Amino acid sequence: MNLSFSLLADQFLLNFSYLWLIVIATTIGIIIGAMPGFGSANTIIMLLPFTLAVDVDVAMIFMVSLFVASHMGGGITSILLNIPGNGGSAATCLDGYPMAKKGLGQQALVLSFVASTVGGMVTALMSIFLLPYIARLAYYMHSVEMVVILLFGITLIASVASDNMLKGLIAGFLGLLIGAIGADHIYSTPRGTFGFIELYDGVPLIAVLIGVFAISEALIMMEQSSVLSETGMQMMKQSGWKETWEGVVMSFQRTWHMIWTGIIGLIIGIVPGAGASIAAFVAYQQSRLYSKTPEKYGTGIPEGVIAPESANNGCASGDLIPLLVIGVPGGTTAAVMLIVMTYHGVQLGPRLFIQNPGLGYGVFITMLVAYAVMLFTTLPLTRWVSKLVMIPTPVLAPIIIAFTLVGAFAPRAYMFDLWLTLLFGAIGYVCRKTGFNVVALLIGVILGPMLEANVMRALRISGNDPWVFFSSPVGNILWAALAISLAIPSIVQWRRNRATRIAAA
Amino acid sequence: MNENRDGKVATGADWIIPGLGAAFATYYLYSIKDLDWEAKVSGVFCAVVLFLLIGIFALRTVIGLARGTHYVEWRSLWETRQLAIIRGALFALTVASVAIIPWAGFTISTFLFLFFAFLWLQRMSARNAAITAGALALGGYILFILILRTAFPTGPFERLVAALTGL
Repeated sequence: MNLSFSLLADQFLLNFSYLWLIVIATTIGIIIGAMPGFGSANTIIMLLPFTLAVDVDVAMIFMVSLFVASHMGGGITSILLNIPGNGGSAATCLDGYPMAKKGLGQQALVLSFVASTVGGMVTALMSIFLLPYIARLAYYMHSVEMVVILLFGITLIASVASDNMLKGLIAGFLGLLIGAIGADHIYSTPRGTFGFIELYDGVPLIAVLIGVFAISEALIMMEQSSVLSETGMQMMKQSGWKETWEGVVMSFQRTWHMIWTGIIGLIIGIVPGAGASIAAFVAYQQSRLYSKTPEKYGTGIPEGVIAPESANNGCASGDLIPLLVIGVPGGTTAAVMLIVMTYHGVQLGPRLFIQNPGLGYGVFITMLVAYAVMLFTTLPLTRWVSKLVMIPTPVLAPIIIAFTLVGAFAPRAYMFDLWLTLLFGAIGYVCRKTGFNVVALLIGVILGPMLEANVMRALRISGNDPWVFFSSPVGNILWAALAISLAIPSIVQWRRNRATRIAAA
Repeated sequence: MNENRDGKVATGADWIIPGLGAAFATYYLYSIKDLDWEAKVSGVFCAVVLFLLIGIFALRTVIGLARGTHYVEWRSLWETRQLAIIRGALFALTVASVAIIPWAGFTISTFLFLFFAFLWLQRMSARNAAITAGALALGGYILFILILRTAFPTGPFERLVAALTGL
């Protein structure tokens, strides 16, 4: 963990030498973020051939810039159309849309951009200085603890990311089993490959990713011919510099509010699976709880826009911490980044900070630079960016499919991977229509090989004694936490059902 | 269990994923039956937990059906006939486009896919669909094949361009 001023300065210089790339990536990210149902993960997948073709530093700068920009862009449609661009900006609808209805749409957009920038920058800075301590903890994570953490990640994602925990767990464990396809770690004997030699190396993650996210999303998108309503069309025509300046003033009158809600986002983001949507709603709830005028929330007040947007972007830093420190992705985009970094041969986890500290810390430096760039580019662009949602979905969906298929083919150049992508596209579609969480499925596929490797390592060290999994104090604490995380949602649900039954009786 | 009718939970289509999961887990266990213990421990663990979860899911559904809180339906998978046709057309076009890639190459397969998708799904005029699809396919060719050198199968277009320009 060699954190030094010169290291940070080098990373700043590296980022400034790729400023053109950051400008492009943030612009794309904002445009994509403004498109409902089409998040940063899908965009990175679409541009996968680029991220795989360039150097790992460049790929990271591009992905991180796009990631943070999409978090910011998601608020545009929430405010103007009451349609969240992504899950993280769903809470922004609560006060952003009423502000727009009151004729304060421009101010609300500026509030959203400034809060995103401040929240994101503060948490990125905090992450740089917290990482050495968090990463040190990772040294105490041996194979036994890692097994529990990996299972914990699956159960957390299953319980937090889905409405129905049982369905989330089924999707997660199905993903783990799919991840166990391929040659085993010790004898290299193929397992569950259906006889396909292309699966001996395991299921290609990029094919799974593109199938369950991009293809299924494109199919779901066809439900609506357009994402816009007539009112939305009218609202987009409103613009003016005076309103923009008013928004800037409103934002900086609430600087402390932006900071503390951003920190909430950071903390929630560190928990694997608890993504930006949870962070934004928790921050909104906390903001209302500590407000002197809680009754005004939901009627269109600046704090109601600032809290979720700042937390949403604070969560972006938090999402990347478990990815970098222990190699477990905190969310969907982090999972995509994991795949790209693995493809480039980057070893994530504590070793990253020994072997390539520049890359580890560089992620957060990129965030700072990207937010600074966005502060100057987003405000004047607002009125044009928001017009992108006018593209009809029958045009958008085929474009998504056509270009993501290139990403599925590029890494291994097997036609087989394209067919696999379509298969996972169909599975992803059924999952989405029936409430099985695709994030849990994907995380399962990613974590499957890691789980097996750690299970095998622990068993080998202990001489095949299964009790080894309950031999470590840290591991046992984690087992208890896992059990509690599984039990609490069920207890809460049971109590809620009971209360409903009593009220009905 | 994703739809409500008079407060009841719809089930039926929900059984596709657990069904697939159970079938795959059974096949997986069969495929590893002769392997050494180390090679199957992780898979057995995941498969057993998956069976357990599917069992709980089944139990909940059966109890729900018996109590009358659940009802069987499959419509949630495709909703309306019109939507099912649109989605089916898009997916079929995608399958066809992948099938022709080995001999048509990236540019022509992408052009045909986008052209027919715009023509049928967006009801564009043939001229507009051809121009839009052509521009996108050409843009994709320049970005992915020429700039990024993606090893996509080459077709008549790529070979023609290579022969004419040496690119």
